[in-house]
Amino acid sequence: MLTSTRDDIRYGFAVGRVRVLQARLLSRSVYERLIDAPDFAEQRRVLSETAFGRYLEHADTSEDVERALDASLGDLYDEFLLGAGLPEAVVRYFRLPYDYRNLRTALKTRVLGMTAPGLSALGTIEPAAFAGSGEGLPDEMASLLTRWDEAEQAPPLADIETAVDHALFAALAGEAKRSRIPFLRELTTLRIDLAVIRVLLRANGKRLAPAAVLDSLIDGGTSALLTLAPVAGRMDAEELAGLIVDTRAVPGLGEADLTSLERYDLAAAALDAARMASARRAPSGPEPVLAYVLGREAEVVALRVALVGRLSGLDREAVRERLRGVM
Amino acid sequence: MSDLFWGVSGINWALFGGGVAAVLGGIGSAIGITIASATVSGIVTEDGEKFGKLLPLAAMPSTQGIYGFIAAVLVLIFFNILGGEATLTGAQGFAVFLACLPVAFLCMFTGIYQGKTGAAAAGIVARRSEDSGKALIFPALVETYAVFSLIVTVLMMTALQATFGG
Repeated sequence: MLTSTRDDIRYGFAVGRVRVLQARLLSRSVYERLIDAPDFAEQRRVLSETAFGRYLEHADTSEDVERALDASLGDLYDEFLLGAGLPEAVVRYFRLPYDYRNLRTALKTRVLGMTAPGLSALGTIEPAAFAGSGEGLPDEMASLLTRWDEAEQAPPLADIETAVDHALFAALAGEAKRSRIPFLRELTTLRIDLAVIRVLLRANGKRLAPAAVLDSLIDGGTSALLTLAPVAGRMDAEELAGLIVDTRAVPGLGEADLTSLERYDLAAAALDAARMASARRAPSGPEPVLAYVLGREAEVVALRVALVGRLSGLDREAVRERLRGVM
Repeated sequence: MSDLFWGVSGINWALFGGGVAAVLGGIGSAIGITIASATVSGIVTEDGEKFGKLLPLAAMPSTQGIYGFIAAVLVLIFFNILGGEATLTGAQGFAVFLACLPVAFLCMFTGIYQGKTGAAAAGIVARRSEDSGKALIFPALVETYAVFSLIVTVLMMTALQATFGG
């Protein structure tokens, strides 16, 4: 009772704001109008009455849209999240993915010998720190940035993705633990488990050797799933699906969801969305606040697809297909 | 008949009971109002027009503090402590103390839980202003038990007053 009362007082103000702001999240009809809009000017007009209107007011190109959406996220983190009274670890939890996205970009351009494009300023580390040998980066990130410097040939890009994903999930799990918010810890564990199951299914489809599967696994999730790594590439798909379900790592996941990567991705997105919906319905505590921030992030991703996609010439049906999970 | 009960005089036991009722009721109200007000303030920050409809939800837990205060005043009046003519033995004073416990503890807990219920119900008003009447019902249900506790305490003190001839 003491903990819940403390949380009620600590997060009450932010929960109150979220109760109003949640009603202002983009509705399905707004997404439909964005998809059906004949050009970007009409899309901008549709969004003019929403929270994104002031950011997109002077946007004309894809780069303008990216900058405007980043600015809206920056305000969300700076104004809302910092003012919500959440622990510092939570603010870092939301900003860390941008650091690792920058690291991924810097690493890829480094091994390919290309010039680095503009990096995101939404992370906890200044983009300039990713230049050179990363002297301004934390040790773990700096060593990852220079890991392949002495290699005779460039590593496959999949290896870079895996290495950065490992580091990102480890950092997120650390921040979730430091936040002492059970919902954030559960959400991180769920996302790690979903990522591990994806690795196992991919290994099964490609008949990968145990060593290759073990290299791709991510720590911090349910340990029972990791025990399947050595056999994932050898057994038939139905058998693996049965074993994954038997671990009970992700309740709500059935064997039918594990028959193909496409079906699995849809089921995983649905599970993640269901977890968010239950957090939004929580009467108090940090859950509704975190679910709102995650919802706003998903909204920005969807808008990026709808606006930049159309500016880049993507047809309506392709945009609609990509937004199916959001609408 | 001893004048002391566990080393404490009757008047002091009675004062202790009245004090506990007033303090715990006040604590319950203060925490409850803080919880409900935090959420209400957040909603009003984003939508100032809802202030009038949300104010009763934030104010509702204040009644528990009033019930504790009433119990404390009744102790002072019923047993002539206020007039300076109290003649309670230690055991009688302890009985008065016990009579104060229902309102003391129930008001503390219902105050806190009414604040939590009020904060949750404020979400209904944030979503649909026209449902503000419905939102008031849930914290009002919690109020019932605070009222019951005050009635029990008053009945017990009335019975004790009749028994002691205070």
